[in-house]
Amino acid sequence: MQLLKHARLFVCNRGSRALAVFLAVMAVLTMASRAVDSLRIPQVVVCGFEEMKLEYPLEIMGRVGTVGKRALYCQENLRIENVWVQPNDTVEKGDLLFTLDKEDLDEKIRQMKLEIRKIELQIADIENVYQQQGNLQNLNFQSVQAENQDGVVVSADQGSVDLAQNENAAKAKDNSAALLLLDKREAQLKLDSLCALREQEGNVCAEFAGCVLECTVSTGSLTSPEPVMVLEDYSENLQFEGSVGRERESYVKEGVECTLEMEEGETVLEGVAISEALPGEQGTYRVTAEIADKSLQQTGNAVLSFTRESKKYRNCIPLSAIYSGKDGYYVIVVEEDKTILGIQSVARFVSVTVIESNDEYAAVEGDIYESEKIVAQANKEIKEGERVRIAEE
Amino acid sequence: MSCYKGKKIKGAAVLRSYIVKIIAAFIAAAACILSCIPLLILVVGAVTGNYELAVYLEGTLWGEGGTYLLLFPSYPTLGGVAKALLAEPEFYVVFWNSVKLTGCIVIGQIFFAVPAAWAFSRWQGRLSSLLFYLYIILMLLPFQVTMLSNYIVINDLGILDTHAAVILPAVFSTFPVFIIYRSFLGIPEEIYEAFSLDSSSRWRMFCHVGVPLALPGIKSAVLLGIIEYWNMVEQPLLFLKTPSRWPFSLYIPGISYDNVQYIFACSLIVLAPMILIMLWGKEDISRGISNMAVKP
Repeated sequence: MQLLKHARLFVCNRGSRALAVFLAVMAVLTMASRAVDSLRIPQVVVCGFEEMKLEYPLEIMGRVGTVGKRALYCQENLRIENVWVQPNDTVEKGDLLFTLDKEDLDEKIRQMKLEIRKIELQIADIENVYQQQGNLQNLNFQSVQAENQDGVVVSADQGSVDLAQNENAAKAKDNSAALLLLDKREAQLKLDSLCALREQEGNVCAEFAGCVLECTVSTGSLTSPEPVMVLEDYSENLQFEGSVGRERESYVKEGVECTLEMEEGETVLEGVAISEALPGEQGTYRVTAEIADKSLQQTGNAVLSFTRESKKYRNCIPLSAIYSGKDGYYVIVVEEDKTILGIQSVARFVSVTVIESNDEYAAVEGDIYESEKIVAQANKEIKEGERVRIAEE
Repeated sequence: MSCYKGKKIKGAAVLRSYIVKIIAAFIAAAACILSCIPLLILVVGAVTGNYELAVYLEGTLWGEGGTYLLLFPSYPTLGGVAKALLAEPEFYVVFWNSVKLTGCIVIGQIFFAVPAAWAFSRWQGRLSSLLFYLYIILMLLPFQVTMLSNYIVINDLGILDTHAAVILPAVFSTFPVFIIYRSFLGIPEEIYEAFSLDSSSRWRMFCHVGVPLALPGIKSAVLLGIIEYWNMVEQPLLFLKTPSRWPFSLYIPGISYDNVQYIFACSLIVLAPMILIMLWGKEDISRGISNMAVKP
């Protein structure tokens, strides 16, 4: 107790208080310097080497369509009452495509019937004329014969001319009548067709399952010699057509099996093989893949994807872990080092050679070990030998 | 005539004496200024930028070019001090290592040296005299002589590369025993005799008479110990391998010359506690040193 009293006397004076204050200030500054250091030191995310195959995923945007297309025609000048489909619509066999105006149809039928009647009358007229001419010639011929019999000399030439005229008239009659008959037959066919349409109430239906590619008519418009619609025929095989940049040319090879994913819906087909890969326009590469699977009855935009794999590499790291310097590529290895602050993580630069890389990873080789920690991300620039702080996940 | 001559001689002697005193004063002042130059360089260097220091200390730092005394920096800056105080936690590690080593050594020394000195001062026989002479011999031996034996013992104890390797040998240093012993000897025997009339307890005599009266000596031993161990280099250099256990005396020489201002700043900061100690116990230190010179 007495000694403690002496000790108190020993330290309780102005000088020792000043020393105590100095040490207290240094203690506070120690904390402050630690705080400053924690803000100043680069924080890094580390990764290790991975043994893996580098993958090169490729997605080819394109369209699934049929190999062949079929056009749908209709008689000219028929008024459309309603169009029930639009481009890219998928239709089944028997689905209603468009409806013709029934009143217009009736009118066209009536006109066609009149047309046929006109032709019939024309044919009748021709036959009458021929009949009359025939009779007249017969009469002439008989009168000539009678004159001959009465002693009037008629040259042989005159007789032959008359006969020739008769034959020509007969031929002219035959051609005109035949042409009119042809016109009538054609008109009759049109009439039959119109009648058939009328019987179906003017409805025009799909004759096969497919997809509407083009539709040239609209409600109220008139039909023309052009096809009313162009449809893809699903009864034939579908195929994918797309293109990629030339830089991916090495990825695309015939026979490579891919996955086809339709943009609309959730249809995914595995094992779709590339059937053709040829140079296209403007630095592209045209890729075609036959779709043998009949379960796909849908056309439209689609993505053909596949992944090419490299051989297996032992030292693969993310691309973000590779830095480029004046002496080539290098990685930053985090090592534990004895420093003044104790055992700390310190950055060491190691030169590496990039063997192969894809968009995410690179296979490297150099003076590195599999167990080493590599800086994958850092919040600030790191210098050689600098302390770094490994960010907690 | 003879009186005039005598006055003339006396005047000449006085004049000569004045001249000698003035010359001596000049020499002393010059020596004083010369001894203060390192401190001046330290203070000026702590507020001078690295580039300017590199120019003025080119010969010292890089071995080529000249070295010039810089009295007033062109662009004073406290960047180095700020860096030492706020931006470099390493400095605090070595600073607190020094505080720990010095504090433990001095406290340990007091714990062992005061009773030892008391024993030597109170029980003077053949054995104690022999032991005391051994103490004196050990005190006279420089560290370089005992370095190897110390290393072997510390290595066998398994405390190499720990602070104990530095603290333990220093705790049993003979130098504070010698100083405190001198203080105990300075206490008049009559005081002990007077106290023995009241109490026969030797422990009480040690606590109530010995320690209080030898307190200035103990204080001087403490202060001299702090000064000595605050600046120690050889022991940490030999026994401490791990950088995180180093005191500042090993850290500062390792700083790159690119940070000369930081070196000066660190040196100035570690000088501060010594200045405070000098202010605190200047008289005690001089008394302790003078005690060593007094023959018992």
